[in-house]
Amino acid sequence: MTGPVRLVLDRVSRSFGAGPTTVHALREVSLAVTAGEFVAVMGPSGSGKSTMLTIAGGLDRPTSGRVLVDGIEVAGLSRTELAALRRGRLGYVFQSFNLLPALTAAENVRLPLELDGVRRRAAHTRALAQLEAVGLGHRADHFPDDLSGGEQQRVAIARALVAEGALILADEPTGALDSVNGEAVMRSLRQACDRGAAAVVVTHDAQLAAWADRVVFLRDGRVVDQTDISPVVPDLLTSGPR
Amino acid sequence: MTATAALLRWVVRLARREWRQHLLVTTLVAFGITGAVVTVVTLSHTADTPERLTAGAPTMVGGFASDGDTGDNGTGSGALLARVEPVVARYPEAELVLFGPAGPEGVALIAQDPAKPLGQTWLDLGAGSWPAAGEVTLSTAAADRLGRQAGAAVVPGDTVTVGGRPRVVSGVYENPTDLEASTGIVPRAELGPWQEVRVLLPSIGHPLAAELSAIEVDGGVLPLYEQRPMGPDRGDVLLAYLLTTVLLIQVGVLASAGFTVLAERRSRQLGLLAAIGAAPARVGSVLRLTGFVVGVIGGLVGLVAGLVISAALAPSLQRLSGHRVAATDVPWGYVLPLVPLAVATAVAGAWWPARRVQQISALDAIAARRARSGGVARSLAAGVALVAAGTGAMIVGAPKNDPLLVVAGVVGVAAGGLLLAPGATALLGRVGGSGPVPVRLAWRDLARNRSRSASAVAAASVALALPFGISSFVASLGSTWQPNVPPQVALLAGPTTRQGMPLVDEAEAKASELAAAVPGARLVAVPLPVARDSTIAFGPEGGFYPFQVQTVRSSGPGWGLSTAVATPELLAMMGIDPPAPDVDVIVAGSLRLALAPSVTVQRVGPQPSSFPQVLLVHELPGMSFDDVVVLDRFLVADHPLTAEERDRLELVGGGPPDPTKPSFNRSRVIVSESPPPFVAIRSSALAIGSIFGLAAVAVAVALIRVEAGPEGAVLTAVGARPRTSRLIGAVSAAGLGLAAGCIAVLCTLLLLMGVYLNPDEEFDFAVPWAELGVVLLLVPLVAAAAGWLLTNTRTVRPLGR
Repeated sequence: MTGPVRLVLDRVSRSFGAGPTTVHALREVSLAVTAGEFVAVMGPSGSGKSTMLTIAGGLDRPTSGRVLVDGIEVAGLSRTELAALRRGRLGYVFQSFNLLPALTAAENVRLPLELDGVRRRAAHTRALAQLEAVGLGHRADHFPDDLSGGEQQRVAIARALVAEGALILADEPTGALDSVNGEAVMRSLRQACDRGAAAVVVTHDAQLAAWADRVVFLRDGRVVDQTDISPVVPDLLTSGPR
Repeated sequence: MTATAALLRWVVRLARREWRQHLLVTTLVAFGITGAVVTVVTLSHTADTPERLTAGAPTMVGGFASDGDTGDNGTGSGALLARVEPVVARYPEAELVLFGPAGPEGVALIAQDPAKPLGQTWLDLGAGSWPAAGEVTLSTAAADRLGRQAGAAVVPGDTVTVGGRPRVVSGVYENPTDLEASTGIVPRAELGPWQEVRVLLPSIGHPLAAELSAIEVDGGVLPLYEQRPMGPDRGDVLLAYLLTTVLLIQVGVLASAGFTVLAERRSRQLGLLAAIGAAPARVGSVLRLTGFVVGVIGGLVGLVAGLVISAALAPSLQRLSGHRVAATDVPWGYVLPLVPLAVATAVAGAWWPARRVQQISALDAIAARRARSGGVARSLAAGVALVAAGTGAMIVGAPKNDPLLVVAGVVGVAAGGLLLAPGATALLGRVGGSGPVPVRLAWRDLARNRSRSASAVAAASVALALPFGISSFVASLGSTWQPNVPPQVALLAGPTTRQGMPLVDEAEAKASELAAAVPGARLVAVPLPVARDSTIAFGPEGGFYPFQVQTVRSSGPGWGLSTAVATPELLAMMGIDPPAPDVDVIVAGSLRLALAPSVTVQRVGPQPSSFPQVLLVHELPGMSFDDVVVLDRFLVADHPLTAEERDRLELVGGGPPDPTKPSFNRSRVIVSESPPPFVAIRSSALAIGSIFGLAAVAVAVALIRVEAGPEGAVLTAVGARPRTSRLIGAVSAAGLGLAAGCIAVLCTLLLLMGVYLNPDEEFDFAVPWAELGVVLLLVPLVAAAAGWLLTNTRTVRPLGR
């Protein structure tokens, strides 16, 4: 993968509590994800996968280390700037509670755009295109309660992709789905990456991880299969944000 | 039994797990009962009824008034007393109390034996002793009054001038039934002129009553009356219970919302209960049982809190009611039923959620799938139908003053209004659907969570409707309100005999005396033509009762209005142009009068209430201008009367008591009164209603937002700004407030039709702009501001699993 770097985690650590009861969720984790790359993160429960994802998305702050999204250092951003970053460059997919039940599928997808000030009609056009891309154009006007679990996850992926140049952070997106729906979701993510997005997907399922370009294993808060960060990272860190 | 015990155990454990939710509902119930207890106690104490004067007093048979004859000349009241006194003296258990007139110092003397038991409810000696010869025991109000006049507190041992002579103050007492009574107890021999005699008896069936009844007075018999101690006035207690009902309806619907949230949060457990074989009724009874427990706890806590607050309010109530209010003086018979009422409210609040829980499938419950809110069509249709039917009943019934139709109309509109709440929240969802993201999310959420948001709308609309109605009514009243007299005018009425018969000569002399008290003032006589066919003579000079025109009411008898001759001076003073030659009667305002069709009426605008409302231009059948009496006169100054002039008029009008004249030989001087506190009443009513309405909205928003954690996570993840959450909270609250305000305004205005269409009411509808502004704009805005401030904006971490 030689595209622009979407995400950099540079020696990121995260610990909870203090003293003898301190829990080290992440220990000096480094990771770089480039555009078009599909990275799967695997590991046993409590290995720090979800913590890594929340830190990558700016929802939590590391105890030490740096996080860069599209070259922008997350640590220096205010809450409002972080929100803008999430709207424009990040897309989240959770295992559940992905959609706002009061909004239709299309409204859920266009939500980040509308929050970003994009006019409703333009946002709707882009939302419909994303829904078409995940095969749900015909369900645009349905409310989440009317959609199956798999469809809801694909709507969430469409929402994650609706921003230009998105980095998708997905935490067990197939955890609550059957194998057919799980495959469909991973296929959607794969296709999104093929169109230029980057994705970091936490999963327990090795079979589904096979859809990824790279699999990162975490254990006890450490990356156990990747000890060196990507060669592009030092350059990026020294050149500063783009 | 075992199953019930198991359920009870489950309810207790549920309460432990969901203690916040339970606490909220219990607090609501307790709050409602606290308010109800305070309302009932307050109204029962402040009831301004004649009975309060005898509260705690024995049954007694009354006496007679003086006609000015205080001596024994064989015919007057003095002679009557001379006949009554020895009869009473034969019965040691009976008491004779003589009431004297109030002197210029404002203290009325009473001759009463403090040692006798029956009159002791009026006497509570605080300091000193009861009077001996040359002494007076003052009431606290009298001591205060004399103290103010002297510039120093009056204490036992001081010498004061009361009843026309100096007396030593032997002590200070309180009349628990009338704390404002400015009186002094003196020995019987030192009373001087007296006004009224009362005979106290242990019971109406006492033999003395029969003896007194047999005493002839002026060809008749001694008038006897009975006064017995009574509890709180039933009308006031009814009002208290009405307010309580409104409050508990509000609490009930809010509790229902709380139980709905509880049911949704524990739907999985309830589903499990159903899955392991619990009958639907048993599953539902979990919530009903919860409601019962919450009602008992809330009711008892509310009762205790209400009693504590009432006890704390006792001194203020005492000042307000004018009689002693002990902290322990609680009308238990009215207060205790509030506890079962609390239980009924809580169980009723739990009933609907319980019914919904019974209907949810076990599979859906176990899968934690939300029960969808039912459609609104049925409740909306029922609401619209009830409101329409109620309005129809009002339109038909109010002009006829038909109580049955009016009550049916009130019930229909009120019940229909409550049923409109789900429709209003659904409408909000529709309207919000095309709005910006925060509005769309907030109002669609309200529509989705209809079971609780509609309850909140209903509760808030109930809270807003009552004060909005009171305030709108007062606004209408205020817009047509007239002063009693203009500031530069005083009405000089009387004097009269004790029986109300006018003393014409004395009236004229007194009026001249009064006119001299205000420089530059002139008198305008109010000539009253007398009725030819009347046989009621009045006054020492004779004459006949003034001619009266009957008013017309749609139900019940009208009343007679004294009519004045429309003299040029009177018309000029009232600002009325000379009438056309063919006019017979000038009528102020919209009074409906029983006049022959041939009588030509000229209507003029509303006049001050103490001005003549009917002016006769020509003679009417049954009366003559040849026989005219002047009882009242207007004193018209060329400037608004100053405070000093008013005091002087009142002093001259009252005058010092003259033992040779009837003590009631005084003119009533009516000067302009301050307008009733319309603005204060309106603002208080609106403020109280708004607080209750906003509280209902706050509870609902809290209930809704507590469920919105996962949605907050999604919003955070998609990059919503921190203020978006605040906006959603604000718009939710504003939407609830607006929906409640719309329903409250609609229903209240329809209900007020019952008053405005009543032909017997003499005021017109005035658009209550201020009230509309408060309910439809200010309340939603304040709700929005509160929603904005109270919404938590901390970053919500997404829920991975």
